[in-house]
Amino acid sequence: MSGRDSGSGGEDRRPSAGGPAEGRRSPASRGGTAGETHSRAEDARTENGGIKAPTGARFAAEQRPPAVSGLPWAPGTIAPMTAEGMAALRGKRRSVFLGRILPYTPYIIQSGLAVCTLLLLILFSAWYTSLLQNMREGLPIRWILPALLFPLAAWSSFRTYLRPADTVFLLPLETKMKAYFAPAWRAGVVGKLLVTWLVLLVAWPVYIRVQPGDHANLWLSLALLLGLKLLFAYGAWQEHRMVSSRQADLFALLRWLLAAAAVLAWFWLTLLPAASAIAAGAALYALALRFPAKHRVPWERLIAVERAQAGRAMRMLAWFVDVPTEDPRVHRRSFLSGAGKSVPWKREEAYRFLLTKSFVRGDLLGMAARLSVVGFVLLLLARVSWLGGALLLLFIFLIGVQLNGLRRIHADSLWLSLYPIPEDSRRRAGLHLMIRVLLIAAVFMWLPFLLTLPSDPMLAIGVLAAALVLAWLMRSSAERKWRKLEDEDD
Amino acid sequence: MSEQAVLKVGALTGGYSVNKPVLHGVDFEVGPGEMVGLIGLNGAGKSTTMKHILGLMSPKEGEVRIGGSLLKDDPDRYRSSLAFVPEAPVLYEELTVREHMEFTARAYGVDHAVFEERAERLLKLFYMKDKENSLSSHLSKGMKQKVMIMCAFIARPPLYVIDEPFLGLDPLGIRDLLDYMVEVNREGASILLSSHILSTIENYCSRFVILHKGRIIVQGTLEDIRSASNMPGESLENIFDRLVRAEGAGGIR
Repeated sequence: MSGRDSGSGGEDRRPSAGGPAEGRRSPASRGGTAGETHSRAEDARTENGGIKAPTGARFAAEQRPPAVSGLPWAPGTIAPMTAEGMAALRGKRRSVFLGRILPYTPYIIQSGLAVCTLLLLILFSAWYTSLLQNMREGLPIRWILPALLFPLAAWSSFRTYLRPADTVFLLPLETKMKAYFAPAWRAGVVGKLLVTWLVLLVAWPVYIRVQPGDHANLWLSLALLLGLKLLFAYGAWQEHRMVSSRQADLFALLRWLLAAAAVLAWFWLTLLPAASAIAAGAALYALALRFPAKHRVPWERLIAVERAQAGRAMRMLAWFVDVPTEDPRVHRRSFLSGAGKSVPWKREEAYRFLLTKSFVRGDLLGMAARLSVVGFVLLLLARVSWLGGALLLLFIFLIGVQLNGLRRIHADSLWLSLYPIPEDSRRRAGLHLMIRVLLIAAVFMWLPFLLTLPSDPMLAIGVLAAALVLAWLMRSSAERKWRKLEDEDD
Repeated sequence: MSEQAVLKVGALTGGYSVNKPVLHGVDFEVGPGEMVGLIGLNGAGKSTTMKHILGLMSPKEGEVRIGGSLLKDDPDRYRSSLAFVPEAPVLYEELTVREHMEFTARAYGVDHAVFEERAERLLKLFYMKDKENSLSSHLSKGMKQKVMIMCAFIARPPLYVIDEPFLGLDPLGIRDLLDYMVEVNREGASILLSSHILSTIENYCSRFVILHKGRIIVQGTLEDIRSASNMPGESLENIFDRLVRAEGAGGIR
């Protein structure tokens, strides 16, 4: 690894994300001669414990013009997989991933998200100030604070950027993968810890006003959250490593239960019993984690998790801009296996059959269902005023925005370009499904207004009519947008 | 044969880049009820030829006609006349085995009752009956390949384009596939088949097209190829070996 410098190469135009490897270019990579590359390969071999490089690899390096790889060794060399090299490899992959995401940031800001976030922040600040000024007696902060903190304490995920090819190329380096995973682990803990601390800091003024006599002091609480985050991140990592996915699921459940128990104990018990109970629980949990059989590196699970996380990031991006989304997750949902059966057996409707199946087993149904249930519950509370009507319309709008994703399903399908399916099938089927889902969601979320119907029929019926009109408008707007995008594609 | 050719690839030149074509004047036909073997080394241009036939790539020069029509003349007819089995299975993760077949049948306008009958037979023939309700993501590679094959045979178009179908198939699967190809062949369907297993396809294909570096070096029946290469009685594998090595050395002497 001799000869590294911190000069920046000009050929790599990907946006820099500040990964460890970013900006490191060796002189040889910018125009080194074959001889230099060769000697680098020689260096690499000696560093690698005398492993003989295959002649073919050296030959290939001499023949090809050196390319900028972003890695701290010259292209074509047999890379010495030291700890530094492994960490740099992950850093490089991270910057490549961010390089795909970051160019879209301006579109996200333009989409109104920035304004929306700012507005919500202002509203929240105003509400929070008034809450502090007019503190209600008996606010159940001892429940609220644990309820806010425990999911954040238990929540753990790691971006490893592993790829299927790694089971071939990195597998031989399995014993050295610790260096590769260390930054993933650190990044997985630090970001979430900061969010957890932020929530505690924001809620703390309310807590000390309601429970001024409690033992829980801020510094101790921050330290507790740090400890819990480390413990549960360690636990989540061990879950990935477990051979049995059933055991991994059980430990994930245990992690969430323990997180809830620890935070509740902290805010409900006195200091000594709380600290002892948490310490004992943590020790037992750490001990229990040792028992299940584990892989040294759970390659397949990590690759699947990584794929799902990358896919999720792209799908979130797809809410704002038109990006190709990666393989969506598939949920079996056996109870819906009959969906699509009623689609007429006609060539023009063949794509509707496929789309219906994809929808009921994909993420979009989950999102629409979650929004509908949340909307239903909120409307049970808000059904007595026109505010409830506004809320219903907001939820229909949100679901409609999500359902615009139907257009992207199977956008690059080989079979749709080969099968004799009418050209407008995709748009027709997408819009058909969209209006059906919107109408079902609208009527479902309106159901609480049935209770309002006897006392205020005008309100109940008016809200229903407005909801149906909005559903139709969402469909029409989607149709215009999809047609425009189709024209652009052509 | 020219008038009634199911597939006619005429002087096809094309590839991924306009300036560097992979195929150079590729010219051959597949007649009704014929099984034609497209053979060549890796990178010879077999898959590129197939992509042009499928309409996934546009020719730089020349044309591809199926049943006499170009893709742009009558896309619907062109697409309905063709079923494709790719080299690597391309499946929808969210569909089960049976749903893949159902989607194909619906797309090709196969009658519902006919679909049920064909699906039953194919599922049994390829030992996939117990997997018919499995999601494709839970299948082995060979099983995924079987799904591709079953989907093509559900449609029963006049022309099948089959790229390396034996990869990943178990021995029974290979035999059943060959038998089934013979059956649809007898019923009048045409097959363009690419494979490296020359000893197998030698006995099944009526004609062969040998591609090398994007050019046809020889085509015809096995007998035609034997006499062209002056190797009477030799196996296809030996002839292919000799022809391709000779091409590398500047042509057959």
